[in-house]
Amino acid sequence: MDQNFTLIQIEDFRITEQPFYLPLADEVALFESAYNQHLPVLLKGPTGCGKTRFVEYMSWRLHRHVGNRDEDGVPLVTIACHEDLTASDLVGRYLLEGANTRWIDGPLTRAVKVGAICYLDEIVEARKDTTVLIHPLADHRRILPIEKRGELLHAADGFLLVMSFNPGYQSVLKDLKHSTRQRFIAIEFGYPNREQESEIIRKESNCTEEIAKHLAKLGEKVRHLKSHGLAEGVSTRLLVYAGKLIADGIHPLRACLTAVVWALTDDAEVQQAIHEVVLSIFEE
Amino acid sequence: MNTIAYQQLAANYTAELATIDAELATIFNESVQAIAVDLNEVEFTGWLKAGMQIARNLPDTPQVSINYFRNSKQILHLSDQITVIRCADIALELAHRSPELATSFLQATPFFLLDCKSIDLKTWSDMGSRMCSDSWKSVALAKTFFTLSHHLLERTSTAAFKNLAGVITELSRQSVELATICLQQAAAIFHSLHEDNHLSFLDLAKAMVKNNWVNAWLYFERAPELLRRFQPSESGAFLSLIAAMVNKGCPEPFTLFEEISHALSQIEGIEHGELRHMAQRLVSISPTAAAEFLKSAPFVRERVPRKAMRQWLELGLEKADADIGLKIEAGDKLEAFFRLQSVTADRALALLSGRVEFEQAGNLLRLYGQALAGEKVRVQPISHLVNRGLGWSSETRATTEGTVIYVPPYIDLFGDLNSNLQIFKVCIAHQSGRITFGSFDFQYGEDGTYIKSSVTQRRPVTATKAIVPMQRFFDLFQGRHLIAGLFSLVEDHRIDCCVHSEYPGLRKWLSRVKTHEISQRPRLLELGLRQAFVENLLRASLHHFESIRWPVSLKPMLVSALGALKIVTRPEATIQDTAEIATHLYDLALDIPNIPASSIGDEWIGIEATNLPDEFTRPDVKTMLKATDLTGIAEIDYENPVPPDFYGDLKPELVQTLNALRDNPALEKPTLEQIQAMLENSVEVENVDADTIVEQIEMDTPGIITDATTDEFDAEAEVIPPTDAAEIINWSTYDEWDFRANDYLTAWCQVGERVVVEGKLEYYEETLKRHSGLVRDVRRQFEMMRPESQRLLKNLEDGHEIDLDKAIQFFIDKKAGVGPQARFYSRRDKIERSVAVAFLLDMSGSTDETINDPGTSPQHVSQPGTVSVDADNPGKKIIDLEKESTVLIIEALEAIGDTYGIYGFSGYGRQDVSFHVIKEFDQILDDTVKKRIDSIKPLRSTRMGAAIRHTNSKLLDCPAKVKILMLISDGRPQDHGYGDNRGDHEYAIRDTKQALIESKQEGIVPFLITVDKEGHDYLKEICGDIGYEVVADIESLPHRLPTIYKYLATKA
Repeated sequence: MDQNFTLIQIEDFRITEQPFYLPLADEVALFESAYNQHLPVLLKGPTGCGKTRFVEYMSWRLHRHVGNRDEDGVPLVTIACHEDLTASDLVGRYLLEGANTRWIDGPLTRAVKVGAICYLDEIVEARKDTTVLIHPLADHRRILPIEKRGELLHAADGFLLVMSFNPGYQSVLKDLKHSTRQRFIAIEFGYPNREQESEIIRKESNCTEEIAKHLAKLGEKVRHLKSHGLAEGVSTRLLVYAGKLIADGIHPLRACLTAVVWALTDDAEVQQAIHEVVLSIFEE
Repeated sequence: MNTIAYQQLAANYTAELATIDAELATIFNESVQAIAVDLNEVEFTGWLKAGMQIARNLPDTPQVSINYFRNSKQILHLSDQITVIRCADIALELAHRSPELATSFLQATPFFLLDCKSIDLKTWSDMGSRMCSDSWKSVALAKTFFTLSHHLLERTSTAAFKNLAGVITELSRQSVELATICLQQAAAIFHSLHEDNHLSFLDLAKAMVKNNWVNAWLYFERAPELLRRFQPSESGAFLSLIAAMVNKGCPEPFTLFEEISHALSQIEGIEHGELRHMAQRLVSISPTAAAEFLKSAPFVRERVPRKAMRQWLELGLEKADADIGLKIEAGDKLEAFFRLQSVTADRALALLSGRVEFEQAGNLLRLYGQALAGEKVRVQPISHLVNRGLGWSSETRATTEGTVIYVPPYIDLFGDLNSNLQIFKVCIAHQSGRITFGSFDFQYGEDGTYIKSSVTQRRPVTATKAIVPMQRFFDLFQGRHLIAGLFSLVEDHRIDCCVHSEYPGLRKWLSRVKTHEISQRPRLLELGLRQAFVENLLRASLHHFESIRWPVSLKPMLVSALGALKIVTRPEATIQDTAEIATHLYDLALDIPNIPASSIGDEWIGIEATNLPDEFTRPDVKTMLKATDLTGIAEIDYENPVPPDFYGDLKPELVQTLNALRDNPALEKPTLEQIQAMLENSVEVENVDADTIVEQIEMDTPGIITDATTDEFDAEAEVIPPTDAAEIINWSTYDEWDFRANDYLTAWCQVGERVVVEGKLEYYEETLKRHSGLVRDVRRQFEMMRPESQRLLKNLEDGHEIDLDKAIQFFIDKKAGVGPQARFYSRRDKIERSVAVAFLLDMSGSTDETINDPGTSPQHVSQPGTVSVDADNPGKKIIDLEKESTVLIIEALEAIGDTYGIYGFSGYGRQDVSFHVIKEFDQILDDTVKKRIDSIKPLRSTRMGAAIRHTNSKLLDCPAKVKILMLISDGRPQDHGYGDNRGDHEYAIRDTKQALIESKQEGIVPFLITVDKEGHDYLKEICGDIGYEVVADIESLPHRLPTIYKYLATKA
């Protein structure tokens, strides 16, 4: 049977094509400096503002441009954090194999071994007892204790811990412990300004410049409603989705309705208000 | 028999009559002489005997017989001898009731006989007689009746006369005085009313006497005046209609008549007939609904066209029909609908009128405005600004002062809702454009994007130091009024172009509203020439060049102006460009004399929008004017053309001043004199004097203006009370459920949230001390409810740990070949308790009742296991137990760690349901909260529905998974206007029930506790399947409350 997919080991994943990323400020220089000095990085910002894309871009950039120290480039290990994420899920576990057991490394252990960028997405979703595990990795020691095997693993040179979280909608209960957050330098992300966002939308969605401008304008207007009915402003990602739908021939009003209005909120009044804004920007 | 013979016959009686009364004898003799010629012997004898009979029977009241003899001749002339004899009989009969009455009858008879129509004498006398009872007042009434009869008969028909007598008789049973007054009014009423309407008038009078006789005299007194409000041909029909309404049970008939007449006075007479026909259709279903239909007609008519009134009626009837299936009385439903107190009615009206009211679309428009202009910008109705007295006076035109967008109360430019909503959006977009595109950012001397600043080429015309750049700019011009108008015109055009480019979706609506505006513009030839010049610029700003007309000889002037105006349509134009263009236009306009436009003999031509110059040009106006002979034509006063409604009012000078004062602490504080000078010079301030505005600014932001130098101002300043001393009330509005209408009354109740003042901390501590045993017990119980922080889940296919026993068993099974499932993992899951509870305490006046009064509350006897009544404090009240229970439950909840809020409610009437905050959900239990508990006290009424709705909204803001509402009360819901009257409990009960159903629908678990032992009666009805408990032994409440809560929190 023909295999129409590719399977690679998690630690072998590298970004080889340049992802589109439009720097908004000096975040690229900051990240490079942090990488060179083994300083873990915390990326803060609202959903869909480009945190994950930034990490991918940096992984590619470090691989291609400053990756001289490591000829093989910088692999990117991404772990989506959730409530049930356990230490075993990160570090590794024993599996039964025949009558014996076999140890298998978790993604964090693999990243540490190969010197990858380990990206813990939405870190606050993980339980606090799990996040404590990364403490020795995130300071000068750069070690990962593998408790079940009684081993200590020193991180390879290229290893960098990066985490992201969205301070906006997290409740107090889900805030990061200070002992965790004070091990990271933090880079704050906001939404790009209208011109930048318009360029992002155009490049990402292949829509026309005019549509991209209108969508960026819509983004700016809708974000004014944050905390006046909306918990979170519309993400660049959603605007890109709308752009893609429009580029594919969907009427702009319909595209915005599905990708922005309905996606953002279930409150009928806020939906109508956003829809009226859409109707003001796009012609019927 | 000749006269002498008669006299001889009569002489026999004269002596007898003289013994009764001398005058009687004289009158008798005179009468004999007069009448003798007309009667034969038999007739004469009969006449004589009848008279003698009266005289002999009533020797003490000779007036009766005097009047008989005196009036006989006249009566005989108008009828015959038999009638005269009948008169005597009737008089004698009446005299038995009252001789005065008989006298009055005899005096009135000749007049009555003049035009008695078909009414028989006896019938007439019986009418009078029926009015008469034993009192002297009733006799007076009947006398009045006899006296006025001929006047009445002159003016009305027999039937109406008879009906009137019936009404007056009926009324006299209730009040003779009122009956007399009404009778006296009747002739005037008949005189002023068309005869066709007399019967209808009396129909309503009859209905009124039957229903509410007290107001009958008001009806008789004011009916002629009120009836003038009706279309004359309709007044009779309306009277019959109202009579039908009253007969079918409408209360307060006179008020009803007055209200309907008032309503109709506001509607064109030509429409009265149609409205009456429609109301008649409703009467058979519900007379009250018919009345409400007429009363609300002016309000409805103002919003919907004449032809849509029938649809309005049909929609109401349709709604009523639809609900009959639900066993709701159609009448009640209709009544609420036409009283405009139901959501359905609001919707129907909105649909028919197409008018969009800010009140209804407010939330949407607020969000829209915020989206467009930024999150700090608010949208409010213009009345808010006008009421503040800061210099804005128009109640209908949109405007902004930089932070708030003010919009008109409604828009009904077009016939449908969507179009009008879009026009609201256009207004908001224009005002938000002023904020986002910098209408208030003018800086003196700064260059525009396209035009360099020319301010240095001018000199100020005033010596006053300007406070803000805009004032400094306007100070450069002698014609301040003209420059202000031109500046607004150019700036609004710039903003309009920005809005046009920023919001392509609004273009269609902008175009529509501009077309409408153009149709409303004044005729150019009726204006002054300068005014026509500016008006043409305004038309150009609306993109309607085709409507421009201008004298051909002065064409270069307008072309130059239009070219200048075009510069602001460029994408990067700023407010600085606006100022320069306005300056240029000012110079051009100033050269044009404001003579009547019609006096220009030239041809008036149109101007093409193309080929306009791209920069300022200065045509030689003087030469052009010389060519036109204008000698001897006087100029007229100049007025700026009124800007289009959707542009609204622009007051850059005033806004810059207000913004500078409030937002810029670095700004050198202006003195009072400077501000007053600015306001007095400004043409933007309308209908308010400078002092009032200064006062208002000071009240808004105290200390913003440098201390006044005059003592007078100091004295005024002292009068202003400190605003922070006042109680802070946060108002919210809620609907109320009207079960009769089966619909919500929109925005019916106002709930004012207040924070309870702090009392003494000792109360809390003493309560804990007094119930220390119970507190310990409750705390222990609650601590047992606290969940373990982690829960072990076993038998999992995947998990954190391997359960060795199970794993070994698995391998054994596997080797045995029985194919077991690999479930030998276990996992520890974290459990989070997430409960929020709101305690809502009834703080009504009735909680002030003492509970241990054996005479009133035999059930309140201490029982084992309950909290005993404090022996030193025999006057313990229901509210005290509520407070103690609160202390206990707080202690329990602190032990378990649940989120909780404590609130009280009371109030009076729907406008002021007071909601008292003792502890908010996110507040920690500190001394402030403890002190507040001491201050809980009985206040006024119990409008439960609104209080529950407000608590629901608070609970909904809580992130907890389980939400509980516990309402603790001492009796049934009851408030002023909570039902038709104080005794109407059903309305209140049904509204409370509905509010609790809403709680359930929102995912809240409601629970009611009452200490009213009669509570079962109504709680059963209120709660349905919602939990409740009647704590009959009131003293057990503090003990019982934690138990109930424990049960609820576990169950939920």
